[in-house]
Amino acid sequence: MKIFKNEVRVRTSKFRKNRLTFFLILYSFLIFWAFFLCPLIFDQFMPTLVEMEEISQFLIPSIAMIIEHLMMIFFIAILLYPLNNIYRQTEIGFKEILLASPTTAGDIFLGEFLGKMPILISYVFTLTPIFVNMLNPILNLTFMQTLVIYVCVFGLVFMGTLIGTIIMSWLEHKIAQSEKSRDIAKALLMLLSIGMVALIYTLQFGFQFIMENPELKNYFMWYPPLWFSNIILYTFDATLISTYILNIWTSLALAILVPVVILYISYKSANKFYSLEGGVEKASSVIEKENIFYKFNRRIMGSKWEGLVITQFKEFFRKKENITKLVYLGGLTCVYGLIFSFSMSEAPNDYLSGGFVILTIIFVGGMVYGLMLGSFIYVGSKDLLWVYKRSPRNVNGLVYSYIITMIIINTILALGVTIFFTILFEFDAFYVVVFFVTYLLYGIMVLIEAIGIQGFSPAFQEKGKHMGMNIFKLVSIQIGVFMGFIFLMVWSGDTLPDLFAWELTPTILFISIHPTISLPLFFMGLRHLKKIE
Amino acid sequence: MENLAIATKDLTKIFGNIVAVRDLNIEIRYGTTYGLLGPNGAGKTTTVRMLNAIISPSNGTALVGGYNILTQANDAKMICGFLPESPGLYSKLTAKEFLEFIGELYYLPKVTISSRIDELLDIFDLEGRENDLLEGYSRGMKQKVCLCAALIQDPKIIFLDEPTSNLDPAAARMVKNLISDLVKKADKTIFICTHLLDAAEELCDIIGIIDKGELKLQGSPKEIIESQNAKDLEDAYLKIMGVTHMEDLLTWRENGPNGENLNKKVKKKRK
Repeated sequence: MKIFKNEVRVRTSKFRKNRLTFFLILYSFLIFWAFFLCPLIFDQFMPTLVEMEEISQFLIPSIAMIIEHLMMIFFIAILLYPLNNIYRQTEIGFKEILLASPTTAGDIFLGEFLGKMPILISYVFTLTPIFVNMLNPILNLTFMQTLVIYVCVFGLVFMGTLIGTIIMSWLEHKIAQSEKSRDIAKALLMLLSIGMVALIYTLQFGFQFIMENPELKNYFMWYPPLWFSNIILYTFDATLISTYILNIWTSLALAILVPVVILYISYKSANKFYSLEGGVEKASSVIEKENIFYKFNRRIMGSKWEGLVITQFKEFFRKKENITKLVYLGGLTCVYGLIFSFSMSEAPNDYLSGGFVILTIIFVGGMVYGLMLGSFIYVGSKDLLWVYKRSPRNVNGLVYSYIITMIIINTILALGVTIFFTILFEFDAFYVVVFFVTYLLYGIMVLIEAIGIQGFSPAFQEKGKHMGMNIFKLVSIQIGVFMGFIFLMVWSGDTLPDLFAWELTPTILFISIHPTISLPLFFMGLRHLKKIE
Repeated sequence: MENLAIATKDLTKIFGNIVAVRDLNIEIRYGTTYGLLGPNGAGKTTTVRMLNAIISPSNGTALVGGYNILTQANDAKMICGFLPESPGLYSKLTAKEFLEFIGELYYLPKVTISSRIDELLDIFDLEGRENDLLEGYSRGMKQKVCLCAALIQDPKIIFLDEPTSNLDPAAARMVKNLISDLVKKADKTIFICTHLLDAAEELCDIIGIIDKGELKLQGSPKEIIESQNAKDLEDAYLKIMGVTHMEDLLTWRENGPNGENLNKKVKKKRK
């Protein structure tokens, strides 16, 4: 109970002075939202939408699939939520205090898990009304059906959080054992998130295919959201789940028994993943010689920066999660470009399409690059910032050596992406140069914008509120400028058709206007950072 | 002024509404070991950060090695070595690589860096582990690496913030001997911030006691002990700080929840 209370306290620390009032206001608002506001909003447009023939033709036959699809995605999101907080919780000192007390590992696990529930229940009351009010005009839900939906969504949240918490606790246990495993686990965690996102996209793209072959859903029968969606669908119409191997009773039994059994087993065997057994191993990795990459870079770098840049390289490449980030970055840009180019090739008569594809690839690649590599500049380096500050090189030493390092990495990345798109789009030599240069330049500009933003409010933690806010600012600037530019292009496309006759004009114009934002932001951020005390 | 390694004049630092350091005036001659003592939050680290030109004073000024920390910050940094309270290290570098990096920050020639690293690794008994990644080092070993980093450019003035706090007794003794040697043999000026009063008494020629940003008292350990009519530096420090003795702090044990004297009750029962 004490651990449960502590977990609630940790999660509501922002409202520590008025916790009771916070919960009262929150739940009052949620009840108001669920039973008054949400139905009111959806009543404004849902009945009209359902009456529209082209929408109802699609909506009504695929309602079962939509419900299953939403439940599957919701489960992934719930599962990922505790995993996302993993870095916050790797505090061995805190665990030590808990384990030193007479509490058992099972109690700690249960307390932490249940402590998440008050907040998660609020998620149930936020999202389920949307779900219910979308379905209501189509199916005219009875009270019992509405109740079943609420219970099933809660069950899904409960199970997702339970599995997520177990995986998180186990990973924490493994991560805490050594720096090396911490590194590998971070990389794995990132791959896991990518895998989950990939699964969502697979579901998205496979939607039509599964619609045509409903028996394929049986391959997912051990995936928990389907047990809950089966129960919901059964209350609507028993035939909706007739193509499944799992009938209503099996689904019901699995939905109730599996979480209970998991909870019981994990409570009893919590000491396996909630202990400090093995301690914090100090694995030592020995590196005696520099590899050829560092030697090569030392040669091309001026003597003034050589040492600092190589330091940044080593710190970057020896963290395995950074390699994963680069793979993710390159992969995402290529996949995005691929999907986008296919969808554009189907678009009718667009004289800007070729240039627009290039512009969008550059935009997406640059933005993800800036987010991933620019935003992490000061992570874990609060004390290191003082190291630079106390030296004659000051913060400039850190910032410029980091920029040089990232430019070199981006050059390699830009080369890879250019080769990929050259093969895909059959670029001629001129286009190859333009694509490579613009991709590289935009990436650098977003990078220095990210560093500028971080200079104003450095986030020394990956999962801190500053990091979230800084990323939000960076994304807002990028999307704002991009959208503004697109509007400007569309508007001036009619008035100045000659200017846009050449399809690379938008890309070059876009790249040309960005320094007016990135450079002032960077220098102001740097000046602010130097004054941070 | 020419003989002074450090001289501050009304040095003040204000963070928002909090005065971290108020009108600090100290003068330290070359070759002196100066100890700044005070409780947590007294303003010791802020003072050291200002003297290293890491943060700028809100008021007043200071000369470090004859250089003004406001107008000649880089010159001052070049002749100072600094061991911070919490070590900032790149965990993915080896000790040798990290020390090379620090050397580069101070524009040292490569040959000098290399020979200084060998020398320092030998002094701090880190030979054989120099190629291990720092993430695998214990707290004490990290402290040793930071000490090496503070000494790599052979600074004239060395600032040490809690230099022995993370070290085992043998390593702490080694550091104390090193500090003595640096002053006696290499004529270095050392500025130490510490909570460890016995270490301060043993090492420092002059001690300053700071509390709530104000310098309360300054003098040699002997002068301070005599001025407070105390038996040792710890006793003198506690008197200056007005800290209640342990016996007073534990009076609650004798009083019950309603203020009655439990000792008397126990004695009565025994009777």
